[in-house]
Amino acid sequence: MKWPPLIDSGHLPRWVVARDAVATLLAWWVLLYYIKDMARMAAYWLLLPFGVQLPTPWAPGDVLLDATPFLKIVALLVLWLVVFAIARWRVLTNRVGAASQPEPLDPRRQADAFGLSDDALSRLRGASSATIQGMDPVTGRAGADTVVLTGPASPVPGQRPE
Amino acid sequence: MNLSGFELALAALCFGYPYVMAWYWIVGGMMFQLLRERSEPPFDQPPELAEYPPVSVLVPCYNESRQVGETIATLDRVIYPDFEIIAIDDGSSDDTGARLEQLAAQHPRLRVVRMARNAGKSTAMNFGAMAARHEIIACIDGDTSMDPHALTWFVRRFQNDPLIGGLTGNPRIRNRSSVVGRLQVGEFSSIVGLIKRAQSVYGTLFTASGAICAFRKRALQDAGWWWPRTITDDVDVSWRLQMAGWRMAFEPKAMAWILTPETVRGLWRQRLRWSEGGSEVALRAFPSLFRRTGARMWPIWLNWFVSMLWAYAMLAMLLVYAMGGLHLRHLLDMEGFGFIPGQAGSLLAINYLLQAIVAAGLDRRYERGIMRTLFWVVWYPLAFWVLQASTAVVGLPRAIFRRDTRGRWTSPDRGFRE
Repeated sequence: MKWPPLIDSGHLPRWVVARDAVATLLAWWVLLYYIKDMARMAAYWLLLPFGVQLPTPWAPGDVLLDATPFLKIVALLVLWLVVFAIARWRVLTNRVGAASQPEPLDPRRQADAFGLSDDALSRLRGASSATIQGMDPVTGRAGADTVVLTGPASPVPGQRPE
Repeated sequence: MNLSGFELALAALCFGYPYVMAWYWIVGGMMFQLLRERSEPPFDQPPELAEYPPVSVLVPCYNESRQVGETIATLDRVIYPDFEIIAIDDGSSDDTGARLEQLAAQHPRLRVVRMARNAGKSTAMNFGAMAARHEIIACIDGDTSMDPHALTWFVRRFQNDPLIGGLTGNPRIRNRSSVVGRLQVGEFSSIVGLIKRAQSVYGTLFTASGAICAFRKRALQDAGWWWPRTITDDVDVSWRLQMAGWRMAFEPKAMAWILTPETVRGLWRQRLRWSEGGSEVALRAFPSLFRRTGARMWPIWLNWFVSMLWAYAMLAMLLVYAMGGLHLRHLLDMEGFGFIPGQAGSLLAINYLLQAIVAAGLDRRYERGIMRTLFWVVWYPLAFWVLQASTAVVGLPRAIFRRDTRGRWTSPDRGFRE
């Protein structure tokens, strides 16, 4: 198996691949057409230091003026991120193993949460193949009728039932 | 509010939300890169761990007969000394169960749990977790290919921080046959990847990716396990786990290759489910936000809330456009806030392109040639956001008026494979 297991367009008809590429090129053309005024503004600002003053679609500085209230919100949110980055610096940069880890969960507590008996739990955990019957599909809990059958439900060639 | 006030608020929201959030995600993504990712080893050369605790990998399956053989084969390539695979067949109507039994005979690590009746993914996961013999459980979907080093990176992150109860991995798009598939490569990088990085900086995540994530059992017990009635089990369990006081984190080096829809219809169904499920969780969590441990979810909740307002503001603009003769018709002439981009629309488009370039730059270490996929992201500012906004608009009322008491399996199309 090749890795990474990417599936490319090799199995598609060539005309589909060509259609997608052409449509995407056209989409770029449309997008660039719509943002052409921004490019003109950028050219204006880039050439201004060299004494070249190009005509502009909007008054110079207009875009920045309109965006200023939103940039102030951006600044506030960035400040929020910076505060958290500083406060959580150790957590974010820590690469060393912690001295201790939480105690593992007792399987019986887990089974209690779903109403599964100790016997059913040990059968479920011990089996290489198990079938669960009689649980409530609405609550997702086991009930008095719940049974855990071990062993393959369908015969597997060469394997003995448990 | 008078008419001009309403117009201003509408226009400010339509432009302001994507503009502000794009910068926020870019800065948050770069911060995460500087603080965590930059000095980490490459994803395919994980450091040696002091201990390798055993891990259980859960693979819930429903009608996955065609895919599951490949999924188990890729798990066989995982480089980790001690792990078991638990495949759960949730009462499939095809021969998934029999196929799993066959695979179990070939793969000694594989154990099979069969639900006699279909009970939903959450219940399948809960019973799979009960069958699991180990404290750390990793979860992948039945059609996901796990990277060989993903388990090592998950375990290392748990070992770093005992307060972390859940980890989300880094799902990468596997199928890139069509425009829809290729566009999602850029989207998962520029939207999903950046959001997770930014959220990791302040320490609460909207969701672990169900396709590749890991949990401590103890944390799941505190969270109340997977809830059978939810639509998006991964979002739901992530919120409850964090509201139970556990931390969640993003581990970008724990990768998995996922199949995504490659038709617009399949994509619509998938995104609608995500939107409905996310809204359902956010609405249900609201009262808990006023409790001590729930308060940490406020930033995530507010982001969800404003994103909904934005989607409905865009819908309002569309209605104004449709009702052209009304007094509000001139809203369309506002600079760039309408559907024909002007100044503000251009600014948004450029912002998105910048966001995509930054995100692809951050993701370069995980995927060679990702910069080439930037060619396809042009569809996002032109068209794809409309689908996203529409699913939000439709998903919210569906979440509010949902009557179904059970989460159900929804298998999207898995792209064009042959």
